[in-house]
Amino acid sequence: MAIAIGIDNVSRHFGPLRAVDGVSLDIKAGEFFTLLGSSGCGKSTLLKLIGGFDAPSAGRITFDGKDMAGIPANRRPVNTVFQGLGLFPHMTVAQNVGYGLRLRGLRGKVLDDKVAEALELVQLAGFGPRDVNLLSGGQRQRVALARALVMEPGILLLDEPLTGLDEGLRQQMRDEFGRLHKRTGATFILVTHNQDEALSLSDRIAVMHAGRIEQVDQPQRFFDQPANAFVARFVGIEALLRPETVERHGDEGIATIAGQKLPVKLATTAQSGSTVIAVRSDRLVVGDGAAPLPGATLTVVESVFRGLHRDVKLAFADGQTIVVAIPADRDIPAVGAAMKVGMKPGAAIEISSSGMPEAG
Amino acid sequence: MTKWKVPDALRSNLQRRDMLKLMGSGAAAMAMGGLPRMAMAQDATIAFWATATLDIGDKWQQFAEQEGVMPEFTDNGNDVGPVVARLAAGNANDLFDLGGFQGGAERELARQGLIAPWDVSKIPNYESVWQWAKDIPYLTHEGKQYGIPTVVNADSIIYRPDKLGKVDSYGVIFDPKLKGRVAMEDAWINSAVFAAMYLKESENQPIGDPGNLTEAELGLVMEFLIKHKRDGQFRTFWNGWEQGVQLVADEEVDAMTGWEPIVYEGRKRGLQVEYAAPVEGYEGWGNNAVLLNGAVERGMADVAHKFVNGLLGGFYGCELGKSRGYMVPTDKNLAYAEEHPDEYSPEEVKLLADHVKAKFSGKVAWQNCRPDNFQLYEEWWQKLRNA
Amino acid sequence: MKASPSTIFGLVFLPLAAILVLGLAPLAVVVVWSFWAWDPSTYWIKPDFSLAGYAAILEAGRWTVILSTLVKALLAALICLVIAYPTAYAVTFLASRRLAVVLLALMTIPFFTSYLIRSFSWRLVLGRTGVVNTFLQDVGLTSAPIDWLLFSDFAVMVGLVASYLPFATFPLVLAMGRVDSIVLSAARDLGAGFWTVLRTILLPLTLSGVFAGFLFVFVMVAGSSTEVQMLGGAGASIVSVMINDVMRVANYPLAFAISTIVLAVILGLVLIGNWTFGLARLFEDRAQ
Repeated sequence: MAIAIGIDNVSRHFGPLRAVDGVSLDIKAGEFFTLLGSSGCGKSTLLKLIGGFDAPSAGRITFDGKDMAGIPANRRPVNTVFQGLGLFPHMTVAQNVGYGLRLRGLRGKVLDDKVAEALELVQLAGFGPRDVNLLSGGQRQRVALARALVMEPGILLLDEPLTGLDEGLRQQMRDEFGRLHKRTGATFILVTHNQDEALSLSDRIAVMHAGRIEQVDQPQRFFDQPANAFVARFVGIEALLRPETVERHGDEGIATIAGQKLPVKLATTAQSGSTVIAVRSDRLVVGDGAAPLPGATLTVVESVFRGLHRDVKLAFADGQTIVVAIPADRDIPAVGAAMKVGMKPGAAIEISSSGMPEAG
Repeated sequence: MTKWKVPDALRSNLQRRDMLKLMGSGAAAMAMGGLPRMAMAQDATIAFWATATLDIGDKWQQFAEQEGVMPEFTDNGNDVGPVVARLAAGNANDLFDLGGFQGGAERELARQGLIAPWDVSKIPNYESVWQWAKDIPYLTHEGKQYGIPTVVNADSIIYRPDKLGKVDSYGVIFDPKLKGRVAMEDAWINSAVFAAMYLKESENQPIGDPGNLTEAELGLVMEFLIKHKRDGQFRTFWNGWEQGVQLVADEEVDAMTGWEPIVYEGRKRGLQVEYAAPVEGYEGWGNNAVLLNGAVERGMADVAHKFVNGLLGGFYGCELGKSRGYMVPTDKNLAYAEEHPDEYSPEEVKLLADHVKAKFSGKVAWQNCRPDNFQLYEEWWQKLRNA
Repeated sequence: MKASPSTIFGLVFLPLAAILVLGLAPLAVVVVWSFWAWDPSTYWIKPDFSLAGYAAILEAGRWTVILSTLVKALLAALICLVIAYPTAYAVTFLASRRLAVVLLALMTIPFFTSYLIRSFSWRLVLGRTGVVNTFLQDVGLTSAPIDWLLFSDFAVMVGLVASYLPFATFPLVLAMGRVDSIVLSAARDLGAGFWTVLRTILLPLTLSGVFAGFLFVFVMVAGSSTEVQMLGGAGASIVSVMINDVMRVANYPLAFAISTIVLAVILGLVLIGNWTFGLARLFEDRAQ
């Protein structure tokens, strides 16, 4: 049975270092939830706290409302696929997979059947008697997965499970995770630094930075409405412009940048403090289609050939730039020429400037 | 290095001497000690192969200035078994002119023709040697003089008068009232002699020479020791100076057989300890100079005589007495000290001499490193260990 | 870069020759001479085949010394392992890196003093007026010194364990260092408590280290003499003490016969151990 997880103002300090700093989260039963962030952001530490391999310095973790404080890893209804896997090198594949069940007292045919079933689930049927040390990376990954899944955990923790695999295998295993999540119905928590993984698999994602959660949302919301400049940059929205003024009319607004007026979507929540305008390059139009749309006329600074398209860097009069993509077969715009950029609805979003690098 | 010849060498009927050379070069496990320095065949240098405690180090220079002979000193490891083996089968006779051996093996060495008799007429100082030292039983063989006593002393019991009152018998070592409070040396060469002296003198057992027991006597003595060991009489058997001192200093035992310097050391540490003058007598021991056959063959005999004469000349005795409390058994020591009071105190030399003389004024059983039944001694000692 | 066969031969030849000359040659001499005859008058051997050396082992209780030596070695090795295992665990998995280095350094300190001094110092600790007895009397647990603390099998065992403990600890630290801590976490994750992790994961993965530690201590004890001489009761013996006794009368065939038997036992132990526990695994790089 899937288990809901409550994380209530949890912190974990290592001396002066706040690896996890006052995090609160509610993860729904059966959800595929991803902790996304670069290394050192605290995502693995938070996973350890959930798994019971570490105890929080402050705060509470609950499973289906039950406080987990003082319950060690081996008594939590959680199983983990570790980064580095941690396969038992002195055991065969079947012994690895059956290890947890044996500890539960299963023996004989019941055990063998469950192990065989788990191996089948990860497409390793018949691999039981093999030496785990002689398997390929992807096969080892599957053994680790089977070893955890065979326990039918309420919560499955996946700690950077695809790190170290080549691209083909990553793709394949990623699909596997999605399939297994549907099959088992367990609550999956994935820790990763890989945005693709997070976006393609997750019901919801928490982007973490410096021990804190920057935004918790469904995947597409990170692009429609990034919480702040850090998240916008993290998900790949590079163009963050500092406006001179923003006029507000309900949830629509007009931002003035270097004298040019652009329509912007305003943050749903009232923004306190300074804001910036995030520009989604996928909603910019140049050339013929640009004319009917609101937008700005900018100066070409440089253009870089990217194969299927060409990146053209355009500057406002105050020197702030955005990059637009034009088809590769189009004429190369001359540097210094003026170019009209049209903005589809939602192309520019006003967001908090938190996490904005210093202008330089 | 290309061919390793040991298997060949082992198969062939090599001379024992060659095998010993092989051993000396290859196998450190043989416990034969390091290779000695090669003796120089030049005049007035003599290769002296002796117990390490006979070495006076830098003082040999002064000795050579006075006596005209300089020794090349090599430690022989003291244990007589390996020493005899190197003489009989090894190259010791090629390397050394003169031995300074624990007393006891002289007759056996003479019988095998490994050592040569001394001509005491060429050792004028021999006359000054005290009579009882000249009377050490194993110095002569078939009427010829094979050993010259270089160092002598006598051992008995170290004890604590505050606990035991005055002790004058080895009976204290075997007194059941002192169970677990006594110790003996971890060597048959000493402990068997002490036990034999006690049984002979105080229990009137039929024992002839405590230093050279017959098979029957040895059985009697060792069974006696085994019985007491089984009863838990002995706290331990000790080995070496530090262990001996520690047993006394830390009050592990109230009495033990051992060396007199331990008494001095104990007193230095503020303990009340005495050295007993047992009614059964002391165990005398000597280290004697022997003339190796090789020296005679090389024409070194006269130099050897001159050197030994020097050992008895006074200076060596003073130095050894001062540095180790050892006694060279001659009055020449005192004479030398009186002539050179700036070097050695005549009072101290006299004190030591009188002390040792007093020990030998009563009964003495001589320690013998090579009793006729030495194999049985070793075997019995194992039985004692394993009892 | 690929070394030519002659280069490899050149590299290997000298160490190999050194092993042969320093190790095997004396061993061969020991074994061969143990079968030769001995002439007591010269204290020397004769190249006549003789089993007298071996026959003498059956006399005077010499064989019991060999037996009791093996028992002592076994016991000391087991005690060392019982102490060393948790120590190695703490160093490897519990201590911070800096603390681990400090602990390992502390463990090497005994190597800086001689066996003689180390054993001797136990006399001062365990003796009648030693630290332990003084303490026991001060707190009123006993009214008189306990005699069996020193000059007893107990004292010998204390000395042996103290002397040779590092020889058990270091192979275990080495073996545990090769165990990925994730593997231990994985076992806990699958429901194993501490003791189950120990029994089913850590112990099997460190078995080669356990055996190496056992063997080191066993061999060291089998060749030791100082501890028994310094701390044992009256006439206490062990193989090396017995060999010393025999060497004093230069009975080489007997001394070598005793050595040969002990060597055979140890060699057998190594072979059995390697066969059972895979000692070689300690030096293998396992994929993980």
